[in-house]
This record gives sequence, structure tokens and C-alpha cells, in this order.
Amino acid sequence: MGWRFFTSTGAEKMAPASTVVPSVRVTNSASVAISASAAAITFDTETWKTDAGMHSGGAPTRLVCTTAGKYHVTAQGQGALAWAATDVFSIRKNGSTYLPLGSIPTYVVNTNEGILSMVVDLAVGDYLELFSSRAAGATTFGAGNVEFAMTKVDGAVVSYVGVPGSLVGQELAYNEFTADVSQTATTAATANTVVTASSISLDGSTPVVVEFFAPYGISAAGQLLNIELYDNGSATGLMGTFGAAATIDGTPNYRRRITPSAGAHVYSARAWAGAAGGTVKAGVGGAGVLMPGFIRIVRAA
Amino acid sequence: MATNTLARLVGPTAAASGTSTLYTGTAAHTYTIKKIKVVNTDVANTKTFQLFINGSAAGNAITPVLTVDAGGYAESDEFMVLSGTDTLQITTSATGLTVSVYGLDQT
Repeated sequence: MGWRFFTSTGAEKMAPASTVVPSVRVTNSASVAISASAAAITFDTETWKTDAGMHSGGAPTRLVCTTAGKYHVTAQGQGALAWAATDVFSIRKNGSTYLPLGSIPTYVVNTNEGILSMVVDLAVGDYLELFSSRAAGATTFGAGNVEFAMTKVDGAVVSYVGVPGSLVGQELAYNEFTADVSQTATTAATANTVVTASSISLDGSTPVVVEFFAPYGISAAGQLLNIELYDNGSATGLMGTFGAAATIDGTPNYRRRITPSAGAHVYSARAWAGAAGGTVKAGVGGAGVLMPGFIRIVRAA
Repeated sequence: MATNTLARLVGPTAAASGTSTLYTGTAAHTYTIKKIKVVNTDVANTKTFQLFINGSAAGNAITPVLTVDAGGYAESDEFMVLSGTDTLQITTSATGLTVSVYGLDQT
């Protein structure tokens, strides 16, 4: 097993890579003969299957459980001739166990049509087969006149990979700063780093929202204090700016929705102004004490 | 005489910010690493790290850059071998990551 990641509460982090409800439906493309001896019906047509292992030509009578759980199983067949009350149209698990009653086959409801519906608990590797017999003599299911299906019903199956950050709204990075940062830089290209986010890796088509917050900031006299968003060490634009002709306090809280290119990105918020002398303020929090500032990246869609 | 010693090869130790060497093996020893645990003791900030063997260039990487939740941890049960004076390096985004490495030391 590779790397596993855990939250501060010890809960393992997982993210769904896909949501699949296991399901399979099979029918017959040609007439199926029914004799006096109960036999498993062969299905040669897969209407659908979500997992290749759920049915195959190598075992054409079987619906195979590849994901453990509870399944709604249905079967329907219309015979050419009527069945009697003791004829068999029944589902067996693993070759021998009749469902749902164990050792008792299920009998048809209508004279020449069998309909079965049940919810069963299956383990991986369990297989189901549809059996039928007619004591009074051979009959057939015409082409397409018998179907057999099962669909998992106890919740969606989620395939997990150990990659955090695949959920919309999930926080991909959160990093704080807890002390004042002096602004001395006078160009965007040389801006002073206020806070840097942890590296995130994206696929090139996933949008994120980058947020920057500071409890307040002070611009140098006569200057605007600029908060520049950096990506992998390069300035990408002003997230926001505050200040005016005189020294004025502001509470910078800016957001920008972007779709980063594929690969790793390290975002940072950096400060610059026309002249040195500004301060981006932050603290450790506590009664009467400035809270930390932060940069935060959240998956947007 | 040959020895087989289950050992905590590294740590728990606070990894430095940037690149540092976690472990340097001893000549004539073979180390089978069975578990690596990286704890982010900073409850406010996520951290990243990357592991390497015998250097810190891309060609020495044995993991990509991995992110650990604020206050969370990451662990691996992957099997890996260090031989002789091989070194295990880590690169971190900041201080706050505590690393432990467990395995078998054989001579």
C-alpha cells in the first residue's frame, strides 16, 4: 500500500475518483430451451454491465458479484408454454442455494411468465444463475424473452484514490502568517512575500479560488499598498490594493478564481507599493490580539 | 556475525525547512524500510514534503511532493531498501514536520 493521509482527527483522507453503481443486465438473442430438468439459463447478450467481471462469455449463465453489497435482483421470462405450479423459475446463488428461500425453488406466478424480484446480500465472487424447468415437457423462452439483472442498492460505490482535493469546495491549501510583514518592495516583480500556500497539483482544467486575508494593513504615506498574487515565483496580477494619498488602514480580503495549468503550483501573496513603508499586519490571535492572516485555495468546480 | 535488528531508523525528528538528510546508512548494512510516518505538528498550516535517496534532484525522488493536512499526518508502508551508506533525504516546505522511519537493519 502506498501513502495514506490523515486529518488532524486521525480520519483517513480519501477522495472519490469515480462513482459507479454496479449493475448488469443480460438477455438471450436466441430461443432458450427449457426441459424437465432444472438447468441454468444461458445468456449471450449483455444489455449493460458496469464491470467486465459481472458477466462473461466464459460463464454465460452467471451474474457475478464484483463489489460486495446488497443487490436488487430481477428476472423475467415468458415461456412459449404454460408452467405448472411445481415447475421451476428460480435464482440460485453459487450453484446450489435457492434465493430467497434457501432450499425451496421459487415458482412462477403467471401461467407462462415468471417474474422474480428480490434483494440479496452478495460477497465478491458470489454468482447468481437463473434456473428453469417444466415437468410437463420442453418449452422455450423466445429470443429476447428472458432477462436477468442485478443492481447494487446499498449506496453508490466510490472508488477512492489517495489524492486529496478532488471534491468541489475542498480546501486544497491553507497557510497562515502570524506576524507583521513589512513592505519594502516597489515593483510587482520584487514584491515582499506575505504568505505562501503549500504546493498544489492540478490537472489544467480544474478551477480554484485563491483567497488572501489580513486583519489589516497600513500603506506607506501617500502610497497604495498592493497585494500581488504570485504563481510559482512569478507575479500574475494584483489581487487588491488599498491606501490613498494619506496613510490609511485597510482590511485586505481578496479572492480570485483561476484555472491553473496542469502541474504543481505554489501560490503566494506578496506586497509592494510605490515606496517602501507599508505593513501587512497579523498576529497569533487571543483576546484583543490580531488574528493570523492567511492564503487559502479551494476547489471551485 | 550477521545481525537482524528491527529498529526505529529515524526519529521522531523535526525535519528542517528545505532539504535535509534524514538518515545515512552504515557500510555493510542493508536497511529494509517498512514504514515512514510524517506528522504535521502545525495545526494551522498545511505542509508539503518530498523524499529522496542519495540526493535531492528529480532523479533521486522516491515520492512526488506530498501534502500533509494541518495537524494531520501521512504514512507509507511501502517496502524500500537502503544499502550501505545510502542516504534518505527530505525536502519540506517549512518546519513543523516530524518524521519517523522504521525498518530492519541487517548486517
